[in-house]
Amino acid sequence: MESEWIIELEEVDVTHPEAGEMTLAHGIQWRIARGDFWVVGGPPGAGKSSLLATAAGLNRPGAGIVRVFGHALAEASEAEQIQWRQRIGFVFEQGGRLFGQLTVAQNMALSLQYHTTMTDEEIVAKVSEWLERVGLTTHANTSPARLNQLWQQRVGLARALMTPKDILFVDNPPTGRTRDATWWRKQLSALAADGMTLIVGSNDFALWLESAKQFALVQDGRFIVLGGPEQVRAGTEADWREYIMVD
Amino acid sequence: MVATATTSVWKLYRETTGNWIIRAMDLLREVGAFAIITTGVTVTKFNVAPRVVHPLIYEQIWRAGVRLFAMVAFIAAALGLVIVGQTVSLLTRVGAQEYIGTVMVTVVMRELGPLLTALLVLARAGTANVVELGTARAMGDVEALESLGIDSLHYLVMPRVIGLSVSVFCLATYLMMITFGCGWLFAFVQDVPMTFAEYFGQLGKAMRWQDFLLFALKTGLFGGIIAVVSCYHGLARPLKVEDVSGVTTRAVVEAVVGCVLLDAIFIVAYLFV
Repeated sequence: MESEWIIELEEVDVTHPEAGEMTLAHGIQWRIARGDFWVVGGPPGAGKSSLLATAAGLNRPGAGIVRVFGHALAEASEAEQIQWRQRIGFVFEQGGRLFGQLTVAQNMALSLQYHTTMTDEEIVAKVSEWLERVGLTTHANTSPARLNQLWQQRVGLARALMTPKDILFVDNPPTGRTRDATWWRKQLSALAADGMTLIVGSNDFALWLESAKQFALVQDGRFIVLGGPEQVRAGTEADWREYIMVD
Repeated sequence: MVATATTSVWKLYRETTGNWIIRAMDLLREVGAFAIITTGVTVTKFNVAPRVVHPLIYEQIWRAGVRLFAMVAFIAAALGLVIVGQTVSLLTRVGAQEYIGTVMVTVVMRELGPLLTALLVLARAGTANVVELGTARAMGDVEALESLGIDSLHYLVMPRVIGLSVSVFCLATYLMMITFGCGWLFAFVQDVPMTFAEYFGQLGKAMRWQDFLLFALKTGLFGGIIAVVSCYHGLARPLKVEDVSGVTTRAVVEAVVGCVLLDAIFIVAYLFV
């Protein structure tokens, strides 16, 4: 039987594997329930991206327990972890980490080809549908390197959602009052309205005040839950206002 | 005084040779574990997602095998003309032509062919593997694959292990055939009194079925060693882009040592067949 929590972090230390396993945040307690919409902010280098990757089961924690769908990741077999990861979407920052040797369409089709028995025609139809949704129909056969990072991240979103997901992590989508930021807000708000659990790493809280339910910070090595949009709006004197956009 | 000297010699030994041995054993353990896990993935997942993974195997065979054929053919021709032809000519001159087959099979089929092919594949495909995988790791491609629920060993390593094993076997076979052919050509040009049929008849007589079996095993394992060592260095640890060149050099050295050690084991095996 699955837990009511999709993801649980219990006394977790978040590390950065490329920085010699340096610990970025200590003793994190975080529970993510089905239908939650979290926005996590923090100063640059505080460990937002590493926290998201750890919660998604992509980074090994320095200490503590990460539970995914009620099961401790450390005790799970590789096969079980791979099975759970299929239900967790992750959109990486800075271009979405697309595979450079594949075209945009091939990047999107990869998980369908790997995990499903869909025919090539069905896959092409689904990829075309998503290409249209992310506004990149004319770039299907383009190498990702030829797209700018904002468009690459859109492809990353499509790639993450090609197979059904229970939860989606989005690391640093565009911010500010730009057309791209608005596009991301609309897309993710629509997904949230459809019942998708969302975790967004962003310092632009203003963009998400209308749609997100919970806000949190990674600051000074700690994970701080701020609360809902009202609490965020009320924190006019808080020190995190220096790097978080609220207005 | 003597005690102090003994202590410092022991300390020097511990800090140099001792540490080197410990590091080498650690490396052997880690590469061994990586090889066992990779073998497990290859056996259990060979037919998982075939429409994604099998084209990757063909691609590796194309890159490490087919595209290297011209170079192998050139080396084989040179080997045949320079070494084999001269050996045939010399043995005939001293009246020892009945040993031609045995000498050729021992030198070309058992030793030089597989090892030379492995070194060529290592230089061309092994180094490319470390650079590609090291860069992929540094750019976060491994995490991206895992985020899609794709086992990185299955997607990145298994095709290389199979591709390189098949490539080394096929290329070594071609190298052997071309070397023997060019050897006869040289002997023919030198007016060695030996017909085409006599020459290949002697080679055929000197070859036993165990030679074919051990040849296939040896070349396959050479390919496997090159693939496992290069993939291990590319993938096993988080890398920065600037680390990739140093790691490539280490991988080449270790793959050469691995192939030579395996060759030594096969020399012992040949003593019993």
